[in-house]
Amino acid sequence: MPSTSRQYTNPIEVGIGDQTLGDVKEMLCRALEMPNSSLTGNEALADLRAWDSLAVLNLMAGIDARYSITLSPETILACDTIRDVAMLVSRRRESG
Amino acid sequence: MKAAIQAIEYYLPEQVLSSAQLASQFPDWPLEKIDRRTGIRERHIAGSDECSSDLGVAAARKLFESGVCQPGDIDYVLLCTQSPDYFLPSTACLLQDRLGIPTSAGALDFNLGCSGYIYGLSLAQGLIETGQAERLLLITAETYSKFIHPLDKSVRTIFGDAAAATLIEGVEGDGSPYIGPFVLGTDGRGAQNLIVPTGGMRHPRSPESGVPKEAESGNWRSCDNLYMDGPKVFEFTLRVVPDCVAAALKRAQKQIHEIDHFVFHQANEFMLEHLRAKLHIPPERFSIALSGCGNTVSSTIPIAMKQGREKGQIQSDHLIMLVGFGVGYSWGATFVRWP
Repeated sequence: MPSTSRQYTNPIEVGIGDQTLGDVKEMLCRALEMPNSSLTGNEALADLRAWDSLAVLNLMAGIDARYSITLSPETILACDTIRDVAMLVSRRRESG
Repeated sequence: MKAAIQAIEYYLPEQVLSSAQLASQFPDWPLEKIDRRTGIRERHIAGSDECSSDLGVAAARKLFESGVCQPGDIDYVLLCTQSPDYFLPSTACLLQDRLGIPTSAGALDFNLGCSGYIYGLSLAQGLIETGQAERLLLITAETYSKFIHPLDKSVRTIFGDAAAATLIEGVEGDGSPYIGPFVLGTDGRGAQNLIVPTGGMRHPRSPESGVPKEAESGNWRSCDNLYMDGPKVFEFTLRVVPDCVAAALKRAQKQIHEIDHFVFHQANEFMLEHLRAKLHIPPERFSIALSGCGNTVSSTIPIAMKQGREKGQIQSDHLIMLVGFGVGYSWGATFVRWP
């Protein structure tokens, strides 16, 4: 169940760069066929139109291609928002 | 003697399921979306009374009719299938009889899916180069459509039925192998992610197991049907295939630019394009051969090789890298040179 009322950590504090969030937003927009400018990053993934297993697959592919990081589908599905995915990617990049 | 692939033929059943037909049945699954994500325009579907042995016989007869060999020349039959005619006997025994292959021939089934062609070549090479066989028929044949629920678009859009017959023969070598080296791998932790749960001894089919239920994204299936967790299988592919390719190149003491052509298991175009880009393989050296037949499981590699030969992408003496990966999980890679 997505939680849209969750309190989010300040992205600057956890080291998430604008670039990572921007990349993830762009990947999602491409996967969901929606304009990039329409997303802030705070949207709940489950509330996005056409968010389904194919969208998860597209996001996995995009992250693998851009960062050589293989995320499991469960890890992505455990994220509430787009920003959570970007933070996950940032943490993985930091941990090498 | 060195084992070498001498000829490949394949057979696709007559009945066709087009993407346009699927798009009209699933309005939320438009034609353009199916084409773009899968790269598949048509799948061939076995008739209700058409089984793996029938497809295998048709593919093998095309091979015999081409004149490369006759049934009496074959001294071993390897059949790769996960949809055999019967639990027992081995479908390979039925093939021996129906094709008129001598009773002095060895014959066996082996149960693998998308990695099956690589394993078949591995077995064939072992049998030929240890003197147990001279002229071997490797048949890959599947009727996955019989496992698929008609309302499960997740797998119905991807899989097609087919069989391929490959003649592998012992030839005088020029020092370099025609087949090999091999890298093989297995991870049974992925068993549940691509499975037909019932029908074996663990969970026999029953009236209850055949009741379909609505699953993810509006798909329907019962426990008697094929289930594939697409994202999990994709994760497996991302984790395994690049390492498998690297290990095979290392074993062959080759660099990627020294390989003339690449034939990967034709899972779907989205996955293939991702792997091709990740491995920095130029598109003109990478087979995409799904459009007219879909993912035919263990037959995708021989079908792509045959089409590559016909299109001139694969030529005599080319060094070709083959990579299979999928259900099991099971994977393998090898190299072949066409004599």
